[in-house]
Amino acid sequence: MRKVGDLSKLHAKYFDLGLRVVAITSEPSEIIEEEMLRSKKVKYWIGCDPENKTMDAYKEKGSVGIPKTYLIDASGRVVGDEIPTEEQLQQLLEAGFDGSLLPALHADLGPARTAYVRGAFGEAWKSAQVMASSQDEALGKDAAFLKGRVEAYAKFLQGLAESSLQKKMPGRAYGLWLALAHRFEGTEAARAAQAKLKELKSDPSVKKELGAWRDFETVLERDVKPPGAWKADAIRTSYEKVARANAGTWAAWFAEDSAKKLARR
Amino acid sequence: MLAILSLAASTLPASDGWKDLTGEPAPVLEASRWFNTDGTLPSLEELRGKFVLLEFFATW
Repeated sequence: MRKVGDLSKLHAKYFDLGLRVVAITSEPSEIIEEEMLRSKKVKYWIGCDPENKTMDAYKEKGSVGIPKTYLIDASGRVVGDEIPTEEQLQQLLEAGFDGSLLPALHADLGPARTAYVRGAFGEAWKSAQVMASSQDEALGKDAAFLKGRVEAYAKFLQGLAESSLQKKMPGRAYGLWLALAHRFEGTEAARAAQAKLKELKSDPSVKKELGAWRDFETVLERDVKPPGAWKADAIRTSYEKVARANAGTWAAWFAEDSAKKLARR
Repeated sequence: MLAILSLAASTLPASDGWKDLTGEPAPVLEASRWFNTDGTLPSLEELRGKFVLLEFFATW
């Protein structure tokens, strides 16, 4: 079999962020135990399906060969049929956190869900946190799920911020930590981000753009905690203004990205 | 979302007789025996909100 090590690495690296590598074979389990598991190199999930139930179900919808890879997104749709590059995978994982992909949740989680969809993840987390210990089993389960989504997204962004710093892009790291500090307010990740922001403020490239960052942060605060009702259009216009006024800075890049995300709603 | 579109665009054309599964809802994963799952069955419930890299393979 191809790429055993690569697939194991992907499974381990992105497990907490929601990726599962699942390999299905029609061979009997004795062969799999003998050939693959003895080496202990295979970390991902393997299913033995001698009756070909899974493959037949896929064949009903399209063509399947061996070996063949499919990428299934968070909404349960096939989105590709090749092993993605890590960059593609990161983009897909981030897209998977989009509020539009949240499954149906218990009605009592309505406000938490709304908060998540508009990007106030800390608010969603706090409300889900309270309900996670509910006596109502269905509610508790859905609340734990939503809480887990927020935590996984924060972890994903933390990873991006750390790798941005390693790649000598402190501006990108600063923007990601700003997003963590505000959008995930009340969580451990936000507290950690605050500390990082303080440290990074003295970095010369960040220091130079502090004015632009302040502009961005002002809108971000209103986006996450609006003084009145949250209005996507008004916030989007404000982000666009920040982007125009600070063209060429990382703050402008983040403002533009936030405006784009709002336009998609 | 861009990444999803570009992946979809890179799939094989339908004209060579290969029927593309991209965009279809993925069928449930079934197996009579699972390894490495620590007792978790990769059911729809367990996989909801997750990404799956699915590989059909053989040791031969």
